[in-house]
Amino acid sequence: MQFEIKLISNSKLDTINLASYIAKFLSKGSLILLTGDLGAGKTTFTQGIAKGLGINENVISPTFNILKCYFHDPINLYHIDAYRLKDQDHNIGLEEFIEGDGVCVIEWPIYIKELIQPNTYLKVNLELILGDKRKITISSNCLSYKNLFEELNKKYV
Amino acid sequence: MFSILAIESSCDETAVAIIKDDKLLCNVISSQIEVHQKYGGVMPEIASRLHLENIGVVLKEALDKASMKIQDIDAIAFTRGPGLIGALHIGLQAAKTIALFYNKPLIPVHHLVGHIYANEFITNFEFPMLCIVVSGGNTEFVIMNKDLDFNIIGETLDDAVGECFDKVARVLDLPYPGGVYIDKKAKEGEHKFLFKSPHADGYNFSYSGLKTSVINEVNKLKMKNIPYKVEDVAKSFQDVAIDIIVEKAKKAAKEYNVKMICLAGGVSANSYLRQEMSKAFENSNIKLILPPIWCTTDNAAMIAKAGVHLYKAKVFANLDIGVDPNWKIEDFNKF
Amino acid sequence: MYSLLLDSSNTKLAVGIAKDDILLDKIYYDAWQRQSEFMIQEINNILNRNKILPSQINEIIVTDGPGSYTGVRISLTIAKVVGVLNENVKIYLLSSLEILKDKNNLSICLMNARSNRSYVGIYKDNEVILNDCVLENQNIEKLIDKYTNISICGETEYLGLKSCKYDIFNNMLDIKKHKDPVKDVLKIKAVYLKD
Repeated sequence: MQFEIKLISNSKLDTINLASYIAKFLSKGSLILLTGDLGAGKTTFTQGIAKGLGINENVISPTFNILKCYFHDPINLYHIDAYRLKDQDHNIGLEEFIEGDGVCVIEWPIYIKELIQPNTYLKVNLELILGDKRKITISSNCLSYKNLFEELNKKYV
Repeated sequence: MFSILAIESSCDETAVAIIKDDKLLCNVISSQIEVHQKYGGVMPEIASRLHLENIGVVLKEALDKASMKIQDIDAIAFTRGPGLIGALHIGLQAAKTIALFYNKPLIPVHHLVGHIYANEFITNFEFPMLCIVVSGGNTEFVIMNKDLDFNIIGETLDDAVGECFDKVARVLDLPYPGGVYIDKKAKEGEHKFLFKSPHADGYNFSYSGLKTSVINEVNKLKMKNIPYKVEDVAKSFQDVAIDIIVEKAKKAAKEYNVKMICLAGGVSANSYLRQEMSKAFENSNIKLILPPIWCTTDNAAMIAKAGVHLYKAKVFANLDIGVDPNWKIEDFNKF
Repeated sequence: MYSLLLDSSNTKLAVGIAKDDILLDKIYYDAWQRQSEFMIQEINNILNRNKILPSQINEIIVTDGPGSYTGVRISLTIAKVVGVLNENVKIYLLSSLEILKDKNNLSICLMNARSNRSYVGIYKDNEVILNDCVLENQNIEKLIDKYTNISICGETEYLGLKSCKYDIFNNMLDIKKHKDPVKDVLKIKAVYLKD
């Protein structure tokens, strides 16, 4: 990937603060792919994005519902968990949220990869190290995130 | 008296039910085998159960079973939310179409209100009542001081309890729906593992810590090649996941001086929850309602039941109403 | 004979009412992602202002795709429910691309299918030259160049192309004349093309 940064989060709060900071660089149509094992903190990260976008609603896991929408001015947040779509019919209209009018966060993007355009997204990988510690790798091939990576380097490295 | 036709399509299923003069005349769900057989080949495969082209078949089947004509129905109730936005749209259009073409009042119903009122198929409510809403998508403690009055006193801050069950089941390589299998396996297991309690302050819950705690433990055992019994992990997890609900229920029942407690949602089918709740309240004056299993999964009968109450209270919507996938239970009459 | 015309396959909400195949009135505006809220209300509005009762509708002419997943199903659900509850109402299913055509000229009808693709259909009069399909946007120009004097129809700004004018309501009434009504309303399904 063209841009990449690796960071350590020591707690849930660290993850939320990082995501909240990143949210300031997002706009309508922004797409974030979250990868990492069960329990790595994907939904926690999304809670941080919501916070950064000014959404007060409690963000809870969308695994069961597949898609949860948080309607908010000026930018909506669409939170997709594609886990249940593994080996399943994908035809439930998710494109309208992925290339839509808000920020879209996708957990388990691998199960709907044909709906995702290459080089248009920010990829965030969360890896369990020990206890509450996580290694977070943020990467992108999308030029519009150049500024984000510069600022992340300044702030965290 | 009057009749209500209810349409439920908040997630995987399309369902229609009819209540007439307080009697449930039919309760049709799209994945029922009999519906498939009767319309042989019309139905999409169950594997793509997220498709909702079933509305026509389910509607027709319901009216046939109830031996009623649409003209004779007094009002149309439908699930407005919460749920999967695409799925909700289908139920909404169907309900609005009937409302317009047959000039019937339109009643928007909150999905969890439906789950709560499913208990009325067992017995009449007594207030104040504590409703323990536990499903794949929700975990809430709701106090009702009277009919159609909902006050959230606690909820999950992250994962719903049902979802936690499903995720733990995944880690244990159990099939979907995980909750049912965890329940089964736990019966043969022993409480050998110490997992993080889902406790949060007040009547709130936080299940993501418990989920992570189970995942970490299982991963650790796998990495070190230490054998473990799925039954023991299931039991240890289930005990912790459910005990906290029972504990907080006892506290809430006391604090709010409730006369009755009901369970609502998919997880109310869990045998350990039912057993522990029964034990906790067997010697008290508080009446406990355990919904029958058919009530615990998504269905339209519960929407019709709630619809009956909303009809009496004249909670009607205009034809330009939309869905709300994030609808809060306290706003059940705001739309 | 009253016909109700419905299309919500793309960004517009389209409701029309015709009497004996002549368009009486129409409602047509941008309602992207809002058709679910407004469609039924607009049907109510158009019937009221023309003093027609819903029970007087004899047929519904509706598009079954391709297009927005949610959008297509809104009009289809309405048509299906009416047709299932009243066997006397005929339902006609039309391609949401064909209704965009430039009457009397060879037309390439286009709609944004997202992911750098488009829904494409080519029509001339009542003939289908290219069946509705999904194509990569980069292949569209080449396809257009294959034909001389072809009208480009649809909301084509996303391709950087200018569209000709088209009249979906009169197109729907024309196309219907060459179609049979749906035999089994219970089997009505949306056409997704991406399958």
